[in-house]
Amino acid sequence: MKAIESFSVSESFGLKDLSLDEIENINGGAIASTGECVKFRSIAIDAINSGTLSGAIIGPTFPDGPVIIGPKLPIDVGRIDGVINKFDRLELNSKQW
Amino acid sequence: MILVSKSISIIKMEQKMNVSKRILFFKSKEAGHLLFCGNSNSFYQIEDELAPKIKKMIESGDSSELPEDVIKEFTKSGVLLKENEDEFFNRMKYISYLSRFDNSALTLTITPTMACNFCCSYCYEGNRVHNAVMSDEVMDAIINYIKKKEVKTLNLYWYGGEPLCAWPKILQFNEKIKELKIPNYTQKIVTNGSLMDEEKIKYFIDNDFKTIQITLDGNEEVQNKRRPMKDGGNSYGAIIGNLDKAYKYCKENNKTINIIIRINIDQDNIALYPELHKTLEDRYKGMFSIYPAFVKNYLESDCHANNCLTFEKSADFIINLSKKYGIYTFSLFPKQNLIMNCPAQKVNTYVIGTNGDMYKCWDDICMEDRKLGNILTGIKDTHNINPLFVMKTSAFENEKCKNCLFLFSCMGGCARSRFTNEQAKYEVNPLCHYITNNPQEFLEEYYELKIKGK
Repeated sequence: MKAIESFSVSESFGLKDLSLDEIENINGGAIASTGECVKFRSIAIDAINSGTLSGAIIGPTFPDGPVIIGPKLPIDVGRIDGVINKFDRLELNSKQW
Repeated sequence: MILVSKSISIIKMEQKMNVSKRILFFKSKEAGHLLFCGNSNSFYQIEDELAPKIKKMIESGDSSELPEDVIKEFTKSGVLLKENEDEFFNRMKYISYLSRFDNSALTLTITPTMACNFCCSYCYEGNRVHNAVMSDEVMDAIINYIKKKEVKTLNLYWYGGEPLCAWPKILQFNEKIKELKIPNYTQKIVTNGSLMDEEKIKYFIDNDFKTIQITLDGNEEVQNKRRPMKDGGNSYGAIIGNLDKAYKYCKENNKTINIIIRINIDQDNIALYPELHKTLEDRYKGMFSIYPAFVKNYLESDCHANNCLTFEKSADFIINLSKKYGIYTFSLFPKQNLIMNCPAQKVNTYVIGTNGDMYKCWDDICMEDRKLGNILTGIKDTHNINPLFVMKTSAFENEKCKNCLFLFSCMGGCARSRFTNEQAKYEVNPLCHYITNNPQEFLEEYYELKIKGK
C-alpha cells in the first residue's frame, strides 16, 4: 500500500501530533489523557490561568517530548491552524518537562 | 511487570475495530485501486493483491486479514475506528459545538469605512456603499466591548468598502488595542491593494498581519474593465505596482508577508485564469498565494447573476486547471478538515459596520433584516440571526451532509448561502465541495498531479 496522502484524524483537523482519542477536554484547554501527559497538566493550566495561552492542547510526542500547542480553536475559517507557532511564546522546552 | 504489560497489549490487539463508512474504494483507470478516507483525507494506492482483503473488510467489517502495518495506518487515518460511526460522528459534533460556544476568543470584522475607490461590476455592496468613516465614538465603543469581554484571543479582520481608505482609523484602533494587552491578537485585511504603499506594507509585516487578501481579476484590460477605479485610474497598474513593492521589500529585507491573491472568476474572465495564475506565479516566484474564487449570486443586490458559473462548470474548471495546466487548487483535493465552515457559525463572531451596526456575515453589511444590534446600543438580535448561523446552518443537522464522504472537509459550505438557498427554495449558490461533482475523477487527477509530478 502506498500513501499518497497520510494524515491522522487529529492532524487533518489541525491538531498536529495529538490523537483525538487522547483529548480529555477541548474547552478551556484540551488535555491529553495519556499517562505521560498528566504530570504536565499543571503547566498547561498555569499557562491558561496566567493568560499566556487562551487554551492549550497537550500532545505527547512533538518533537521529542510533550508540547503545549495553541491557540486551541479556529481563528479564521474554522480551521485549527498555526498551532505550533505559539509554542515559542511559552518558552517551554524539553528540559522544563 | 512484564506479564501485566503483555496482557494489556493482548487486550489492545483484540479490540474490535469498526470500518468507517466515510471511505471511497474504487479501481481507477490508470492507478489501480485507490482508497480515500474522509475522516482524515488520507489517500492510498492499493496493490492488486491487497485489494480483495480491503474489499472484504468493507463488505464484512472484518479487518483481521489485513497486514499489521496496514491496520496501524488505517487506525491512524480513521479508516478503522475504535468507536462506531455514530459515536465518532457525535464526538466530532460535540467538539464543533464546543468551539461554536467558546467565549475565550472573539472574532470581529471591522469596516472602518464603506467608501471605496473602485466600482467593481459585481460588487454585492452596490448601493449600500457610502462615504462615511467610522466615528471615534463607534471605535471607542468597540474597544470597550472588547475590554468588557475579557477575551484572551482577538481575531480581527479589516474590511470595507476599502479599509485602506480609512488608514488613520486602523492605526488609531491598533494603538488603543495594544493598551488592552490581549495575549493573542491577530489581524487580517481584505483590500483591493491599490492603496498599499510601502508604509502600509511595512506596517503589515511589523504588526504581524496574518493575511493580506488582494483581488485581481485579469490582465490589464479585463481588470480595468471589471474593477475600474472611480477616478478613471488604472486599477491593474496600481495593484501590480504595489505587489511589486511588497515583493521587493520582502526580498531586500529578508521578510515574509502572507499576501493572498484572489482571482474572482465568472463566465467573462474564466478563460484568462490559467495565464494570469502563471504570470503572477512567475513574477513573484511563489512568494504570494494565488487562488480562484467563483463570483457568487447575491439575490439582494445582484445584476451579475447571469455571469455566475454553475456548480458543474466550476468543478470542470478546477479539474481542467490541473489536467491542462498542472495548477493545483485546494478545491481539487481537500487536505484539511474543519471544525466548522465559517467563523460566523461561532457565537462570539461579529461584523461591525461603519456606524456600529452589528451583523454575523460581512455579506450582510447594511442589510437591516440581518442586523443584530449596534455596538453603541447593544445586541438585541430580534431577527434570531445568531441562532440561524450557529445552529440552523450546521452540517451536523443536515441529512445529506451527515452522510457525505466529504462532511469534515466541507462542513456544509457557506453558512449564508445555505440560508439564502433555503429561503429561495432553490440552489442560488452551490454549497458542496466541488470534488462531490465526481469524486473518482477528482481523486484520480490528484493522484496524477501528486505522483507523476505533472
